[in-house]
Amino acid sequence: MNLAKKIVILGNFGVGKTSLIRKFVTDEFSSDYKVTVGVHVLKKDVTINNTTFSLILWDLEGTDNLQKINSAYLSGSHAFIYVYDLKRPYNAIELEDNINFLKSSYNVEILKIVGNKVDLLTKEEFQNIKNQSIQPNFLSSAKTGENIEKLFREIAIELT
Amino acid sequence: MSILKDLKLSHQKKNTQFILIDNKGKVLESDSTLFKVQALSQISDIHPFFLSIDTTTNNQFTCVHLDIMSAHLICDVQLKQVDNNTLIILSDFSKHYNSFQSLAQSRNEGAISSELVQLNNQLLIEKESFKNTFIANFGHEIISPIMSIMTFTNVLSKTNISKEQQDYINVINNSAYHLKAMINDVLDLSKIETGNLEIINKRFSLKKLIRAIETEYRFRCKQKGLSFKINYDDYMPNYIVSDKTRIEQVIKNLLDNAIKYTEKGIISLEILKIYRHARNITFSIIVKDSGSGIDKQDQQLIFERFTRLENAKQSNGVGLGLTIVKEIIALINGSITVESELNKGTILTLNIKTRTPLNNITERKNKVEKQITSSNYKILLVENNITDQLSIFKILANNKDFYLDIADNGQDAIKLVKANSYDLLLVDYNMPKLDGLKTSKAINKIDKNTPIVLITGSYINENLRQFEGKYFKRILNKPFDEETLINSIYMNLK
Repeated sequence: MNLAKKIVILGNFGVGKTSLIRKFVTDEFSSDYKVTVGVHVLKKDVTINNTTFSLILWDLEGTDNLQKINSAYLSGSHAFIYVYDLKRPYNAIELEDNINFLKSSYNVEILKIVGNKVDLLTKEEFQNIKNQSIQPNFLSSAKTGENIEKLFREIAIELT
Repeated sequence: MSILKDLKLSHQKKNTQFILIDNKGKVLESDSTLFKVQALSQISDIHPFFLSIDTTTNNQFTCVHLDIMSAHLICDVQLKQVDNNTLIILSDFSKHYNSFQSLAQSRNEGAISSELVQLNNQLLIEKESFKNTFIANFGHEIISPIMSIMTFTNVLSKTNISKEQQDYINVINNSAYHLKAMINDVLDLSKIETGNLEIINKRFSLKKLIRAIETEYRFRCKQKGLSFKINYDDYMPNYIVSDKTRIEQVIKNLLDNAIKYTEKGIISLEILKIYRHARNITFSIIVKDSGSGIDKQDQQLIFERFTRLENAKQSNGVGLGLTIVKEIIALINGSITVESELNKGTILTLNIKTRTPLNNITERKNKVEKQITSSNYKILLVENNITDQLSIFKILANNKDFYLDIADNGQDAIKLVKANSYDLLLVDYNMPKLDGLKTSKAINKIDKNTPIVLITGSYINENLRQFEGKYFKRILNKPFDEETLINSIYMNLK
C-alpha cells in the first residue's frame, strides 16, 4: 500500500498558499510575501489510527487562471486544496469558476476550499462570506495557525 | 566534432544530470553534475518530489524546486522510458528561474496593490453613496415638519397674541428659517458631490429675476438697518440663456452672506456686461458690502467647505454657502473672485460666460402684465400628507382670494379635474402609486390649460426640472413660507 499522498495546493498569487504549508510543515510564519515560481514539494508525515501517511504537498505558483497550470503538476493528485484570500473579494468572485474547472477537469477524490487570512477579517467581512455562492470548507490563518492542522488531518482521514 | 557540438556538450555537462532508475525506483546509474547519488538508493529518498510522481511513464515537469543536500536547485525534470528503465534528466535552470522570480515578485506585488487600491476605492464610493443617500432621505423627511413649523408659526402670529408671544414666535421662525437653509446647503453639496446637480440652461429674463431679488432683499436689508443698492447695466440684455434657478441661488447666497457679516452701511448688487459678441456674452454679478471683511490670508479659505472664519464664529450656518456658490459657478461656466479688507468690506465678483437667446426680445410688448384681481380663485391641492394639507389650507384660508379643494391622491385629482374647472393645481410630487409627475401628465391630457405647480422636497426636484414648463409650470420646493406659496400661485394662475 502506497502511503504517500499527493496533495496540490493551488489558487491565486498572494493568497498565502506557501505560508499555509510552511505553517503546517515547519510551524513557521513570515508576513513577507515571496512569490513562488514553479512548484515547491514538501513532505510531512501524519499518523492516523496508528498508520503513518506521507503527505507530499505540492505548493504551486499562484495564478488567477487554473487552466494555465501545467497538467503534469496536477495529475496523480489525491487531493486539491484551493486557497483564496478572504480579504480580496475578487478572489471570491473567481472562486466559482475555478472550482467548477477543477471538478470538471480532474477526477480528484478530495477538494477542499480554504479561505485564508481569517485573522484579518472584520465582523462585516465575516458576515459577507455567508453570501458567497460557494462556501469555503475551512477558514484558516497561516499567521495564527487557525484550522491548518485540522485541514490536513481531515484530508488525511478522508484519504485512509 | 564541430564547435557548436563542443559548446552544447560543455553546457549540458555543467547543467544537466542524468539518472537511470529501474521500474521500482532504484537508482541504477547517475552522474554527479548537480549532486551525488548513491547507486542502488531509492530515487524517492532523494527528494519527496520523486515520491509523488509516476516514474514509469514519460513526463516533463518545469521549474521544480529541489533542495538536495546543500544545493538549492530549480530544475526542469524529464522522464524518459528506456528499455524498462527510466531515464531522469534534470536540467538546472536556477539562474534563469531566479531572475524570473524577481520579475514575478514585482508583477504580483503590483497586481495585489492595485487590487487593494481598487477595493479601497470601491469601499469609499460605497460609503460616500450611503452618506449621500442618507442625507437625501434625512433631508427629505425633515423638510415637511419644518414647513409645518413655518406655516403654523405664521398662522399663529396672525392670531390675537401678546408682544412677548410674538417675540417667541419670531425666534421659532428664525430658527426654522436657518434650519431650512442649512439643510438645503447640505443637500445641495451632496448633489454636487454625486454629480446630481443638473444644470438646465433655458432662456429667462435676468432683469426680471434681479427685480424680484431686489424686492426681497431691500426688505431684508431694511430689517437690519442697512441700505440696499442695485444696478443693472444698460448694456446688459434682459434675456440670457442660463440656469435661472442656480443663478438665483448663487446671488441670494452671496447677498445672505453680505447681510450676515454687515452690521452697518450698504449692500449693493451690480450686473455688469463685460464682453458681448454675437450671441456670446460675459457678464459680472458683483456683490459689495461694508461689513467685517476678510483678512487677505483667509480669502481663499472662505470657499472651503465647513469653513467659518474667526470673526464670523458668532454667526449661524455650517459654512457651506460659498463652497456651494463656487461649485455651482464652475458648473455654469463661471468663476468667482474675492477682494476684501478687514473691517472695510468685501467685494465678491462672479464672471459668467453664457449666450443670449436666438430671439432676444428685450420686452414682450404684447404681453399683458398679470393683473391680480380680488375674485375667488379655485385651487385644487393634490397632497397625501395630512399635515401638509393642513399647512397649505391654513395659508390659503387666511387669504380670501382662494377657494380650496383637496384630493388625497392622483386618481381622485384626475376625477376632480374632469368634473370641475380650476384656476391652478398644487400637486405634491411625493405621493404613493401615482406620483406628482404622473398625475401632472395625466391631467395635461385632460386639460392642458390648467396650470400646475409641482411641490417637491428639494432633493428630488433635480430630476423633475427637465419637465418644468412641459407638464407643470413651476416647481415649488418644500419648505416654503406663506409669501412664497401665495406668490407662486399668483404668478402661475390661469
